[in-house]
Amino acid sequence: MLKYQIFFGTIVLLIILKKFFAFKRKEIKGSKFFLFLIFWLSVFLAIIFPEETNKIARFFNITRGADFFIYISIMVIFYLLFKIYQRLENIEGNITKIVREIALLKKEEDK
Amino acid sequence: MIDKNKIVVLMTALNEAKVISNVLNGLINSGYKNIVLVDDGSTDETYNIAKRYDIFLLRHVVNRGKGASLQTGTEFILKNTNFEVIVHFDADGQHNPEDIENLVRPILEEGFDVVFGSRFLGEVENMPYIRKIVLKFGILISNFLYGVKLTDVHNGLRAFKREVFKKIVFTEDRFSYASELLEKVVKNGFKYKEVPVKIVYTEYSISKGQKNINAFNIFFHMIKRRFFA
Repeated sequence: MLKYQIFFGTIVLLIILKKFFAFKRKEIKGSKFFLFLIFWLSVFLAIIFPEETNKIARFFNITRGADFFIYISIMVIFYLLFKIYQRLENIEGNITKIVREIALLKKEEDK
Repeated sequence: MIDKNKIVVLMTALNEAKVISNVLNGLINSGYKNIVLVDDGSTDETYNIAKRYDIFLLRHVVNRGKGASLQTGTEFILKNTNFEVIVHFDADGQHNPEDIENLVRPILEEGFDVVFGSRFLGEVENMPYIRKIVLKFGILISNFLYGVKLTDVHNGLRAFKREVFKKIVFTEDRFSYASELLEKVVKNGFKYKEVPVKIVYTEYSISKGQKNINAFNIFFHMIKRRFFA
């Protein structure tokens, strides 16, 4: 096993352990933990068996496994950005509702 | 002469302490005594100055934007008053109270639901060249996206029949509310027209008004609303 595999493999295992304890403490839902586990186990396997990723990549007509992972990562990042943007918009909207309610209630009180 | 008692002027203000007195005096001296002012989280003396006037004054505890403030003022008007016509008027001194009569007449006498003020049909003083280009570009895009033929889209001087706001609720908090408004006016089939108005750009109003860079933000929101909402 190469040094980078030990280094990154350990980090991924620590991330999985951290989430596992959070799941035990019921801080995250089972379905979310399951998705999280699938994702990070895939990353772990890709680190330990890098040659295997080439096979998956070739299945999608991509030459190298590393390229395949970069494409997947870009897609995931864009998806997450979109989700964060949506959540931010919701929060902004909720703040406006609260501020408006306060303004209208205060006016009622002043009458 | 129109009956000014049927009209309420809705203004929003953010840090307008330098000019708010002049603007309020101008409106009151022109006979528009029904004024709703939403202070949008000003950190200067705007709110305290406005308190001295006999107007409906509301305050956002933090800044939420022009669209959000107009919605707050509108909700107040619909819930607490019976005015027939709502006029949007900027608090930075760019607008002329004399224009309100021309805006309101088509609503009270000709059956229009919405009347937009157009600086490009009327008069505009000291407008920076770059602002003119940005506005003209915005008008082109809006006309294309919403299938209308307007000459001015982001002018804050406009009038509405009260009932319009039973169907139009601003969800865009910031300046893109103007595009949202146009979209909803078209979608709901409201009868609208433009009338000429006068806009005077001063050093103060230019420094206070929308930044040209905001155009990109507004454009992004227009595309989002048109194709992804």
